[in-house]
Amino acid sequence: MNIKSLFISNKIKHLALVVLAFFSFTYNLHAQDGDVALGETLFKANCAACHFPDKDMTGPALKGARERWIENSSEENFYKWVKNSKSVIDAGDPYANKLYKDWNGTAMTAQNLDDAGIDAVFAYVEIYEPTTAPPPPKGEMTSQGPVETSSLYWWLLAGLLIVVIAVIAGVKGNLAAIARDKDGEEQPEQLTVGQSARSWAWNNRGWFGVTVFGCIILLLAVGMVKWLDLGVYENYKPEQPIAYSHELHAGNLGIDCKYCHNAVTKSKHATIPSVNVCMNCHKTVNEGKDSDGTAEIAKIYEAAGYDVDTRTYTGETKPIKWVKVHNLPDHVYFNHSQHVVAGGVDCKQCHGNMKKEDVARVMSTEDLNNVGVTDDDWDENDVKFTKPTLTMGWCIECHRQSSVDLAGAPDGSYYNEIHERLLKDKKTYKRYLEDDVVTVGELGGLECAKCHY
Amino acid sequence: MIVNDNIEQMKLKAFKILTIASIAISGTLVSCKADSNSPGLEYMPDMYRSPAVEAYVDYGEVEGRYDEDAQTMVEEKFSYLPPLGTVPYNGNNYMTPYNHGGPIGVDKTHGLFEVAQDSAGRDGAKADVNPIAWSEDVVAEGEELFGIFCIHCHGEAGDGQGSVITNSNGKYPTPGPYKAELTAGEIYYTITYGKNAMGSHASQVNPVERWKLVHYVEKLIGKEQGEPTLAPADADAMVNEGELIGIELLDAVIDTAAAIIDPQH
Repeated sequence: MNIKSLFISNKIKHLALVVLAFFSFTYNLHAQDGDVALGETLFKANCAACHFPDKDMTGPALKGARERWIENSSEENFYKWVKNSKSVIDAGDPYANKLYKDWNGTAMTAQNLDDAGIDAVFAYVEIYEPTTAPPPPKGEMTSQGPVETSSLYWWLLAGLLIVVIAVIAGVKGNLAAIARDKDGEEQPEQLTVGQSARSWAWNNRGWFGVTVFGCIILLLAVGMVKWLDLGVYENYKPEQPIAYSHELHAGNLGIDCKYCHNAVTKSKHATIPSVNVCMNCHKTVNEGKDSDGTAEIAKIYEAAGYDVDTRTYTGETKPIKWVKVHNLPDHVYFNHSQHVVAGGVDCKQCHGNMKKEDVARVMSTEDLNNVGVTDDDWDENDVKFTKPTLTMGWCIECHRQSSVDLAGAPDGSYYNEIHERLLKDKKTYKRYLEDDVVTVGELGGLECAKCHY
Repeated sequence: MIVNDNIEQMKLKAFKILTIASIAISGTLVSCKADSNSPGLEYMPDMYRSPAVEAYVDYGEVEGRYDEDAQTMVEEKFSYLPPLGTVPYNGNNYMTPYNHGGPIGVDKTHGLFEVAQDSAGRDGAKADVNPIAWSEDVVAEGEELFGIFCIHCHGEAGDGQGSVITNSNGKYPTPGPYKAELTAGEIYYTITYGKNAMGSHASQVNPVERWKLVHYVEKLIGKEQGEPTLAPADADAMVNEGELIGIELLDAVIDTAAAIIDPQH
């Protein structure tokens, strides 16, 4: 019965679809005059920069535009508008003037199309359907695993074990006392906990000593390993206010790192982009891959003060409080532009392959050494590290190995000056060139005051 | 025999205690590593949040004190356009200050608040002459900048088929190929204020870089390279004319000039 009703409802649905399709077909009949394929070409060449077929962008959605014109003005004006919108506005057509006003006084660019071309464009627009279920982009955001709760879990387990053992020990002691009672043996004299522990330790001094010694060694070893981790930021990956994915933007969409982090060539900081940089694209792209993505994009609009319905900026902005990931203590001076411009260091040398990461993370040494080895997004890094990322040993390692192209330095630059100086001091130069390279370290890159002052 | 048993038991007990201790210690260790939101243990943590103001540092708590003022500053200023006067001005040689106002409504459509608006802005900019002389080096620099700031939409050949267009599944429209009738001044104007779907890139590229970009975009369009687009005599005339127009405009906008939020970034 249920199944039957299901079939019926499906049939009705199909019927409704057919009827709908039929009506929409007749409705669009006069729009089908043009050549759809030609229309698509013309649309993409002339209209697509400002119009989506089915969504408002810089200009309104083109679907149904012809009908709106016929309803509010005339078809003749519709053609005129496409060819030269200004003529229709100047002629005083009320609908044209309303359109002009509604779209913030942005005049539509006059299009060099004839009537047949316009028909073709609208034939394409009217039958346009957005591609359903877009294929997931290559660089899909990997879902983050379940939240780590292991620390709580371990504590609970340890606590439980201690309780169980204490209970068992108590029961055992009582049982032994009962057994001794039964056998008529003398109960051992009552000692305090401390006394009994001390006498036990003395009685078993061999084993006890070895155990204590082992524990101390273990603690020292563990302590040493942990102390080496002190101040090491590797794998620090804080949650950010907006779940921005580097994998999608830099990897899949191929946007250069420096498009957003554009001050990297000019300043100490690479800079987190101001929200207007996000809006350069997201003014148009307001839907994410799924509803989560759309919600994240909405956070940009909130920050930028952008009303997505009216497509205008309101001026009510809010800051986005990004969390800084790569921290250096105050007694270290590091300058991005110095390394990127003068040093010619690639981003990936220190930041790894961000094409495969969602939010920013302090890459581990292993990640940095694997760039170009376990992936083919980049070439291999010039310098391979052994020390943990963002530690002083790590900086020094690179300064020792990186070579400076003295001969190729542009005239009048700092390296050029050093080159001149070295040419006069042949002895030092010869010593520098023993291994065929002049490294940053040899030019003073290891001096304390280079970074600490 | 009994003594031996006792020792055996004691050994067992010591082993048990050791096991428990190991588990507890390993538990503590695991707890140190689990949270990716935590930077881990810091040696002298105050040095990471020093009282000297650094960019992007959370000043919520320094040396145990809660700094209300610094916190307010961070919350008000985070991720905004650079404040007036903090970006190099580059002198007068690169058409700065820029005398052409933004398109009408640019505050509503592109969020460029406080930018002077001028209905003749784009038309006025068309006649501008690139203040940077053409050379192979300048074009090469322009190409490098193009590779960073333009290529992902406009494409390597300037045909409007960049990776953002081809890989975004129709979400982002193509800007189309560069139009042959674009003049140098118009390209500069578009980079400065944006056009239609394209936003203003004034905060990302400074005037010098913009003019270098113009050289490279003109190369992509196929404009004649290697010599100025205008004969030198004409160019002088244009510059003079431009200056006159500029002075007029300057008079008109002199009051608002101070408040111009810097197309000149």
